[in-house]
Amino acid sequence: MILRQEPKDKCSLVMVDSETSKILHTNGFIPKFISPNGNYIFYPKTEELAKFMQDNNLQVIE
Amino acid sequence: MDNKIYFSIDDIQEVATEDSVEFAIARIAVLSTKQNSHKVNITKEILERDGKSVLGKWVIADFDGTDVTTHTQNTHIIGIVPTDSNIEFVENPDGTTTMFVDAIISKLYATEIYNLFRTHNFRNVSVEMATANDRENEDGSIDIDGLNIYSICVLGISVGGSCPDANMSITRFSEKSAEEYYQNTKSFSLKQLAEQRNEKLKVTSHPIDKSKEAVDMGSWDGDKAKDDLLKEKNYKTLAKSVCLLLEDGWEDKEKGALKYPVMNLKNGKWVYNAQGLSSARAYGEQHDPSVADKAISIQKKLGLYKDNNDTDKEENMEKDKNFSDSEKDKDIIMEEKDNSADEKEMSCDEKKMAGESEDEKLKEEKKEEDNIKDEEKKMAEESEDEKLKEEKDEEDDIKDEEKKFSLNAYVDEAAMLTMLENETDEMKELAGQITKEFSAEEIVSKFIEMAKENAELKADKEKNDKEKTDKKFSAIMASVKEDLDEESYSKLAEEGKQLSLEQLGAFENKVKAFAYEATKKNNKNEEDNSEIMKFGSSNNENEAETDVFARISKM
Repeated sequence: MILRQEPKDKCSLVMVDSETSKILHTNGFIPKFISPNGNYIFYPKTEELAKFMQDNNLQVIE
Repeated sequence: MDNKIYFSIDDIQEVATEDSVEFAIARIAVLSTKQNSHKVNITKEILERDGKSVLGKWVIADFDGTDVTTHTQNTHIIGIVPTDSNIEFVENPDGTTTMFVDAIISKLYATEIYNLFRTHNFRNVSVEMATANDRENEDGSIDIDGLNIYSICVLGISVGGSCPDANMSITRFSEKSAEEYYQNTKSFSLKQLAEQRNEKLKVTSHPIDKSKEAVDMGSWDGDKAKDDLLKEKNYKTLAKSVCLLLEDGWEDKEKGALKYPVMNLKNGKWVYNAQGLSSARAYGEQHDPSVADKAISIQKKLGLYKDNNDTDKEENMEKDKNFSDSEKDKDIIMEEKDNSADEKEMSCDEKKMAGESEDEKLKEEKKEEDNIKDEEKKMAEESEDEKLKEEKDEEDDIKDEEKKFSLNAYVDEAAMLTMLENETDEMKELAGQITKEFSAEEIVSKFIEMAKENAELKADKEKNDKEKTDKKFSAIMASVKEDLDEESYSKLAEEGKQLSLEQLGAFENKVKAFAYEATKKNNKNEEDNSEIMKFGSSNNENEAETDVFARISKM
């Protein structure tokens, strides 16, 4: 289940593109939001996610 | 709470036979009331109420060449949840409810996805949806008032979704079993869809009858009238009469653009409906006065018009107990008079309209006749021009042959082809226009008329040519009559009588040549005779001209 709508509180989320999202989702991180145009995917911000992204050199879209 | 749930492969169903090339049927567990990873509380009430929003929505996937992936910007539609698909809410042993639905996956347009299920008949899925009025609780869970499902995304083999139990497997691989399934459940099938579309595309044709006698006084169903109108072959013509207002998009058969219908089908004819007119008038008076005016105008023509004020008055009068019978009688008489006046107006209008239509017909006929005459003239002129051109071309050809030049050197084949193609296109357009404007019978009758006229023209031309030939022949023979002896003249006359107008040119040359020869002979004879005379006589003229002294000096 993913919410296809703009999240109200983006501070608690990490925004990534489709390619990064594929890696994250395959590794057990579950996306919460997808922008209505499908370009950006939002993951709940957790320490585990931050570490994984850092270890795998994955970019966060600011 | 970090609740990651991975889904098990526990529902692999038959994949043995596969006859259908079109579609496969998938069983999808869409959502459940179980706690999901996002802590969105989906209650049983919300699931049962809003879960139906999945009907008619898409099944999507992003295929990366080896497997489907997740929610991305590159997802494509691979199937659909039919609008009449069965939704099942299954109670789980733990008290939660899971919603199941059947979807159709295209084997033709999502072959890779279908093949994935052939090798491994299970994938997790994740719905894309929107929620209403999210409220976050202290424990981080989110309460919602409702949800709307946009699509069901098929996830990769190693990808888990947020909602536990959300998965998909293909249940019907064979066409036979699929057909049986749909026939048994009376559910959606592509055949049904095709039949529905064919039914929608069926067009009919009904005449229109606007007469007073044909008015339908029965019940009125404006929506049905619109549906019937949309099926009509001559929709565009009828729509203008059936509806009092046509909004943008009516030409594209948008039902919503058809406003204020006032006619319906009765006994195979489009006729005015009294209730329809009243309804249109009432709505028009509230929203669009121009529509009300149109409705009133039609009502007046049909004798259905009643003034609202009059109606109110009548009602008041009925309520009034002191209303006398004599006055009632008067009113009746007045009403009859009004009606007769209306009828008279109607008949006048009808007569006018009939008169106008007859005038228009006559004008059109006259125009057609003029056009045909113009065409005949043009054709005659063109035929003469063509002959002249042909003659000129022949002369040019002869000249060219004399010069011993090859024709190919002068002909641009590409240009010729283009010209011919253009001509062909023009003829096609002309043929298209003619078939649009005239029926087959009209075309045939016109063709016959033109053939007759052509025959008459040909006869006239032959007659004219004969007269011209005779005239020219007479002129030729007259010009040489004095130069030829009787024998030669009669011979040439006999010969010339047989010739056509075109051949007379050569004949004229021949005759003149004869005449020249004959004249030459005559002149020679005269000269010969004068020389003989010279030998026998002195030159008197010279003598007469000179005086005595001149002659003596010459001697």
